[in-house]
Amino acid sequence: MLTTLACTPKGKCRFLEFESIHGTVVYSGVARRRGEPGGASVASPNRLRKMKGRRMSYDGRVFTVQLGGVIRKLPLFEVAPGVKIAIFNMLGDTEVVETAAALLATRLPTGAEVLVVPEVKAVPLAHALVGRQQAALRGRAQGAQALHGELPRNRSAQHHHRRAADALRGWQGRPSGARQAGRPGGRCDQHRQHDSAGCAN
Amino acid sequence: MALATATVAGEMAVFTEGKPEDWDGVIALGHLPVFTD
Repeated sequence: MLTTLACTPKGKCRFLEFESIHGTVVYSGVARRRGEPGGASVASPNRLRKMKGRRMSYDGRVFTVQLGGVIRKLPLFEVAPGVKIAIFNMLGDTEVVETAAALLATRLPTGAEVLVVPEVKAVPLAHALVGRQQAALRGRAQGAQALHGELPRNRSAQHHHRRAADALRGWQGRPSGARQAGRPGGRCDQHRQHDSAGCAN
Repeated sequence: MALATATVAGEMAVFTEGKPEDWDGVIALGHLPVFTD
């Protein structure tokens, strides 16, 4: 059991009680403000006894979940008579945040430009998701730059080199692959010149 | 979202909770049941 007293600069204090259950820190009570009936500014044993009646009911049972390679045992709390839910709080659990972000990033809808999350537990997840999205875009841009940086001497090889770089950048200004079939003769400009030169490829 | 004239591309969650059929349109990594006696 962890007990802490949180005070504002004006001296308004709240007495907070935390409990570590299977590695998950669970906030389990708020004391009254100092000056209110039953209020206190220090963690007295009497205050702790009074606070225990306000804690959510927990009988030690857990619900096991797995995210990728990460397994967590979520404590089951009774939140209403006869109703228990598994408490999941990833705030502070960086392993879960990073794993969830990696898994969700692969399922991010295409064309998503903005991520909107509620305050505040999902903020680290959004941060990790955006980081992964930006890293992927950077990787594509750097790959394209690297391809353009070392052009081969052969003109045809240069053409394929540029097309690969364009594909990495997601640029579709020049027909490629199946799109190429829609061009006159089924060839892009480079390949039509190639054809007129009598080359079969 | 309407005020920002935004188009919602999708909704994602780490876990959904309650009845799975209530979350058909949500991309989630798992589902947490509600336990009732």
